[in-house]
Amino acid sequence: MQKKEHWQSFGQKDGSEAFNQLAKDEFQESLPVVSPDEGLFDAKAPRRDFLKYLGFSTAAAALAASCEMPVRKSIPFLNKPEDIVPGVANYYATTFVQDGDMIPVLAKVRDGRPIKIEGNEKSTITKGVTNARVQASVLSLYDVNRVRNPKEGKGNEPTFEAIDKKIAQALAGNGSKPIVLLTSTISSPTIKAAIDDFTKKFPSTRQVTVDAVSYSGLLQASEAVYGKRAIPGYRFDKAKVIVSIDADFLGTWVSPATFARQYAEGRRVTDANLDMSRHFQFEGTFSMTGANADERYTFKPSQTGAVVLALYQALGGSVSAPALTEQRLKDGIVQAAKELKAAGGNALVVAGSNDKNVQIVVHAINELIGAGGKTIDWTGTLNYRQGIDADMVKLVDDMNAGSIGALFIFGPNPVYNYYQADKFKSGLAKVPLTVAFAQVEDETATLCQYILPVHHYLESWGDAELKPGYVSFLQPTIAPLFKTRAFATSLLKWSGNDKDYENYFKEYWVAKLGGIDAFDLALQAGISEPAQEPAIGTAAFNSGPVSAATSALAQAKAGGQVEVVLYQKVSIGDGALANNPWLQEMPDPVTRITWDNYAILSPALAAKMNIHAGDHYEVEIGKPTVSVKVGDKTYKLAAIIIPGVHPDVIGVALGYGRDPKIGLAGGGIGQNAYPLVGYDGTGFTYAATDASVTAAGDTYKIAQTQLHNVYEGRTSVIKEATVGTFRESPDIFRQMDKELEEEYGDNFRENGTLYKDEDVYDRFGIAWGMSVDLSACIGCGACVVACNVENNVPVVGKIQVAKAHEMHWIRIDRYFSGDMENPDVVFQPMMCQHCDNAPCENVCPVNATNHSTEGLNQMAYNRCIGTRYCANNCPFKVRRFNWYDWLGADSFPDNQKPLVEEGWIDPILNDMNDPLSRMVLNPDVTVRGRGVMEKCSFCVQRLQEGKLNAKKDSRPLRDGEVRTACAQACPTHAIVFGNANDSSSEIFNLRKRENKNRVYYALEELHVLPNVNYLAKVRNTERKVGMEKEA
Amino acid sequence: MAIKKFVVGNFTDEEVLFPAVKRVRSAGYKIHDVYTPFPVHGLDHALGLKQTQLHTAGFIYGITGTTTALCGISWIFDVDWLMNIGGKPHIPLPAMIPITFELTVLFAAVGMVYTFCWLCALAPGVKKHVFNPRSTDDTFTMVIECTEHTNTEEVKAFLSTVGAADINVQHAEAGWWWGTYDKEQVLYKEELV
Amino acid sequence: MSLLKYESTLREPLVDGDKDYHQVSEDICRPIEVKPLKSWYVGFGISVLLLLFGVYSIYRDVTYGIGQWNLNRTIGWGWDITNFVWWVGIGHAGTLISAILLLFRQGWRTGVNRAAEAMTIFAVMCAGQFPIWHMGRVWIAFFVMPYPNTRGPVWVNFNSPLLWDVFAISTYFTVSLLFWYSGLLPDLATLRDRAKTKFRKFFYGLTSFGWSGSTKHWQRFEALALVLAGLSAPLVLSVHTIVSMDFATSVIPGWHTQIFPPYFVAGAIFSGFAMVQTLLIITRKVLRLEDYITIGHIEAMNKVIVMTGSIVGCAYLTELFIAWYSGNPYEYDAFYKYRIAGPYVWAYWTMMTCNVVSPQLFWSAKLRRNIQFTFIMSVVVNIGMWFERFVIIVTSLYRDYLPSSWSTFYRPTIWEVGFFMGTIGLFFTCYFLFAKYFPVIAVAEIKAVLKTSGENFKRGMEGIEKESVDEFVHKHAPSEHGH
Repeated sequence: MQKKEHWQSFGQKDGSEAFNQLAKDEFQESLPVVSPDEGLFDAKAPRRDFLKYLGFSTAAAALAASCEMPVRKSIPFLNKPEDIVPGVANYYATTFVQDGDMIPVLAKVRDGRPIKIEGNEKSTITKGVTNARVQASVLSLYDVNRVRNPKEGKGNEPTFEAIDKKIAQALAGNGSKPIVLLTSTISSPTIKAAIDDFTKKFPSTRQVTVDAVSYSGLLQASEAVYGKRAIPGYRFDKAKVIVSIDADFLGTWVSPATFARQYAEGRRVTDANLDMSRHFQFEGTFSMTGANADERYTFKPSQTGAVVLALYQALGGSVSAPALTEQRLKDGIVQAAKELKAAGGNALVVAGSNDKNVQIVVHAINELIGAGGKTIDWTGTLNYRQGIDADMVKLVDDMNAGSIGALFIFGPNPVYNYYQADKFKSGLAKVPLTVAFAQVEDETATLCQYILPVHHYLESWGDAELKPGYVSFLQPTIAPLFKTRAFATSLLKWSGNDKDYENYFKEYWVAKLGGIDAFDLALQAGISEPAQEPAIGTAAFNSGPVSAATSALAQAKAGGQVEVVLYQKVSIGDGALANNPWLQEMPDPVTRITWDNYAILSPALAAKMNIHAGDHYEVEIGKPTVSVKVGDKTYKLAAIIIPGVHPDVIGVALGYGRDPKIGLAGGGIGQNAYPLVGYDGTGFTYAATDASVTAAGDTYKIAQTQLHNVYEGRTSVIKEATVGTFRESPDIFRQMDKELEEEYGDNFRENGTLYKDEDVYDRFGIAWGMSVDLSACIGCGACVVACNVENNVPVVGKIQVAKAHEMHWIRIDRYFSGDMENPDVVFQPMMCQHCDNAPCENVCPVNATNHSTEGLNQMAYNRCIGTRYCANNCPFKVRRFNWYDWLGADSFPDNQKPLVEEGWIDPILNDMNDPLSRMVLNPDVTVRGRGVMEKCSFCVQRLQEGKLNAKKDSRPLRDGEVRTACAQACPTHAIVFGNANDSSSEIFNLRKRENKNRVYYALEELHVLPNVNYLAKVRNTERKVGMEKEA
Repeated sequence: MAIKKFVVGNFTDEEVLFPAVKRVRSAGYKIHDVYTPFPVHGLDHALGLKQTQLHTAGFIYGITGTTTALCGISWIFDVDWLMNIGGKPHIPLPAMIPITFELTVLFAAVGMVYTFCWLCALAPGVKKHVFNPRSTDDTFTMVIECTEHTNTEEVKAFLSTVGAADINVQHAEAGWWWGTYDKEQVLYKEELV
Repeated sequence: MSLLKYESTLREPLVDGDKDYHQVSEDICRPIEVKPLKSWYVGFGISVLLLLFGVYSIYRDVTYGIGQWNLNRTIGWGWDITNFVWWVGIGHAGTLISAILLLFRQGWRTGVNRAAEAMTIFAVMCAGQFPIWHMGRVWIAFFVMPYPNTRGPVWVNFNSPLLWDVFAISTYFTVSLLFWYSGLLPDLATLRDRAKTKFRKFFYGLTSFGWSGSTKHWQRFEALALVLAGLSAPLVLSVHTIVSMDFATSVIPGWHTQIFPPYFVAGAIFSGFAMVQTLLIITRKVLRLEDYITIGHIEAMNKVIVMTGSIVGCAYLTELFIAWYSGNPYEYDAFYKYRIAGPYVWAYWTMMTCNVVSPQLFWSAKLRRNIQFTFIMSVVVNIGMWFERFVIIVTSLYRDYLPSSWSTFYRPTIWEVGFFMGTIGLFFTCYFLFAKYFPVIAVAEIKAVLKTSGENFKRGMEGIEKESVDEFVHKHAPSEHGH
């Protein structure tokens, strides 16, 4: 039947023109258009439109008024890559490789960007430790000064293919002239293999390995007496007595992070177990290792031989040691010898000297005390350094002789750090073909014909053999940012192999590990190690060379007026990472100085030049300068007075004075001390024994973060005692609290508050707590840099650090105690104490800082108006104010640029605000704007993440599941973090059981109830320490 | 108000003014007001004016301020926004004292001044008839209000006997109006006899 | 009722010379009605230039950041808060004179209260600048206002002394302003009725709110003045008490002391009176008002200065004593090692000399009544009081609990100094305008005391002191039966 039709109007019924027209228009009435001449209210339907306009304009006004942040575009994934969940981090195992040092790590990758490095705990060698340099290395990936294309000569930037052709021709035309691969230590089996392939193709190839700071003395000594050219596998954890003769093994020597872990394991004390290793340090200047020693003695570099021989003699070695004048030093050697003997093999002697003879004698000493096989492992020797100085010296001669056909430089930077840079330069000019494989256009690369940019380690495939059988792998965590190519790929290409390094590497390991699955697993774990750890091995000792060595040492000539010790800073090391702002701004553990090198000298020597460490010296930024004269070279350096430096010794740090071209951070900072390095025929010497020093008269601005050196007997800040005292009276530290009660009344805790009776805030659930063990902390600064990386802590530059505007959320206070000739040192990491009665919270007028139910003292940046009252009222002075727009987060865009031009702040800020550098920022942490107060948050973003994960699989939070960045980075496990309410947690156990006698809270008399506790420092010595001594 | 007719007598010395006031009042004349260049103590009594209640108002304003502060702070900290600030309890009485005091004073002071201005009809732009410009300088001006059957001449005579100088008759707006003192406004037509 | 007003002739007159009511109006209003002197233009110009310098300094700080000040992680407050407290202190004299002296029925206040109150208001205006512009993010300064808002329930922190400051300073400013202006009304009316030019008729007509001098108004006027005085008296004391709590409630050694409130208040009155002296000694000279602001006035204020100065001195010594007696090592160090010795020793001893030693000279009546000497002293005292605040703030902060954080030597930068200069410019700009357009002495109040304390009237009284009681009563008894 016919469908019934309903019609609304006659128009619709007989489908009139008008109706269809109407039906067609979606909008029955046209929108009003107000022409300029007629007012708003003359328009059609004015009321509704008026409201529209009103609404719009209000919204617009509101927007315009409230819009503080500049709008930034964000482009979504068109189709989501597998294994990338936006906002969720992935971790890839790789390896930090930097001039010889190798540390297995995990790279945290957020949305395709590596933003944080953490230790790989699977490695049995490092057990997941890192150090400051590892933590900071991620920023070098985003270094704005990296070479972005292959370069030929000056300027023009051809492709790799073009360069490959040219080099192929050059190599073909080279004939039999030697082709030299000048590399820093390479411990990668695959790169070695690639080099071998290359050598097969070009038989005249020879590899010269050189280390910026050389260990060839040690290597050759080992070769001489053990027949192994290698660094013995030291085991500081097994040693009960450690004697270090100028070896800064916790800071810069061989592989400090690893040694620091071992060292800490050998010294960890609890109330129950108080046997910790004894550490003797003999040194000229004041190293971080020395700062941690139980007994510390100073000597001049020219006495090195004498000291070693004296020790050898004291241990019964048949030598006649040259006389030492200093009584204290002699006693120290005797004492050390006594204890070494007593240790029955569980002892270890190491020397930092690069003198082959010294190292031979040290080997002899270790034989004498039976260290071999106990604390020295001759099967698991270390591959960290392999450079032989003589080879390098010969190479330079050959270059100048014009006998070198081609020079491929991968790693070293001789133009900067060779002791005769000019000689190397002139030689370089005589080599027909020079190619630099470099990440940045450094001093050497700029003088080569070709620069082939190589990957950053976070971009590259690879492997590193820490010690025989122990391999750690590298895998890319991000696609190469620039046109870069692996060093080995180039070699392979030129040796006619069409494979690139990635496949070459893969095939090598698939074959070696037996199957692609094994390879994938190894790659995932990041390491490949023997199933069970081989026993600590011994080696046959050939005492032949010893006598020669001893007699050579016996004839060491005396030093001059003063002697200069060339040392490395914990942060900058040999200078390769000098362009890393985080490292530059990390205060030196001992001097607490950033962004510079200088002359450190003893108060006595300073006084001779009429420089006195009084109030004036302390509070003025400009420090008096001295001119240090070595041969024909003169350095004008700021005089930094450090008690405990040998009165005739001046310490100057290597690694500074890089060429300005390498970047704003490292370039032109400090002065280059490498020209002071000497060569004794077998190895480089890192001391100038004949120098003179005079006051230069003027001053030089130094950016120092801690000016006052002693803790003024404030035992509620620092508590320390000797193991002996602590064993006898375990409540020694509680007695110190008694002193407080004498001063502040017996119940000063109750009287600390107006509201005694009120018990408003019981902590249910989580109460975050942190414990810092002053005995374990070695002051290395890994936590400081880790915190910077994790929390987007801005770099402020030298000028601003000098103004005490540095932003570090955690700092390591260093205090000298005892007599100022041979002071004791204590390091105290200081971060927000998260007080339950926080003075800062009470005084904020707008409540920008307040207390969480979990005991966090939290900052609401958006609420902060910047009165700085909280910082004034913080007894720990851990709050940091954004004096300027450090990170381009301000409502006034780019307003730091004029200040850079006017010289108020360093240009480095422009670099750090470069879009490339900003890729390193952690998206989980707010970037603070100008005028806002900030401080340690206990890495609240990590806490939240951990809690959410626990919540997702509905279980309570596990202990150790969340760790703050500092706790995680600490190589000595000095920082413990966790839920203090959880009786199974480490922090609870440590506070209430294991270490309850050593627990104390800083400035307890203020009754601010911190959530951070400290474990008092115990020293393994008979001397009186700390306040006992001063009393 | 309305335009009225006044007899204005001027005195140069308050010592003459006082007895005059008494006698004018006892003679039954209605003193509209006496304008003086400074507060003459006792004159308000002489004129039989009631004591002002301004202080009472001030007290009430003050109490209002106190309660506002106390209730406001307690409500905010204990009801609307519970928060742990430095481990202090939610109603920290000692910390509330300063603000409470300040608000008390503020409310009282502001309230009183407004009341004062309201009662005395004082505000920018308010204009009043000036019977004698010198009454803000050195003259005490007594203004006697006339009804339709007041004999102005008699009043004038009487005033001169009590010691007033330059006595005159003025038609004037008794209250206030909006205007400025730089221009003369003619508010009424003179209808002189 | 007797019309007899009598004051002993032993008291020296508050108004010198042979004055009648009209003469008083003449003397005080003349300067307003004639063209200002050349010196006025010079002074005004300089003030405005200083003000502009200050404005630019603040512009720099707001646009580029407070890093341009030499404050640091340890010394969070320096010149900014020092100047704040200094100005607030100065801002105490005015209201104190008009309120407390009114309650104490001190006749001599009439000569100086108007100028003193004006000075108070300008000083508080200057003081207010510092807490505002020292903020890191001044564009959200309104966060300190407790008002319901759309950011969730976000309120201010009533525990914070800084918030107390917000209330104290704003209240103090408002009340002082009202007090001052209500007092101005009758005098503005005087000016209005004396006015010859159209502009002055208009301007003073507007500003005098249509004051007519009606008896009823005078009655209310006096009631108001009395109650406002009653309110202001404790207010004055509370303001600097609260300012002192910015420090007293903190935990920093050198700040955390209970003595602060009375000590600060005394200091405030001390510096306030000194500033009043500085201004009035110039004003009376330039505007030829020596008859109204007499040596007597100046001496009276000098007496207040020597008293408060001595109180302040006691406070300093008490601090030192307690620092030793309490046995609190931090406080001991703060005072004995880092304040009366150490890098800032000069600041401490400048303070001591200017505030404690020099005012003692005022025990000599000869010096009290010496204009030049008083002027110099008034400046010295204010320098001393500036240093007091600097000492309290900077030398307490720069070395506190953890020696690791002890600070470098603090020197102000050009922009910190510029900010301070700017407020000085603001202060004098306002004062110059005030002196030009407003009566610097309360005309009506002078007239009110003229017949008791005027020189010529006192002469008339001399006879009475000889009269016997009967005569006296007979002459001046209430004359019911007329003349």
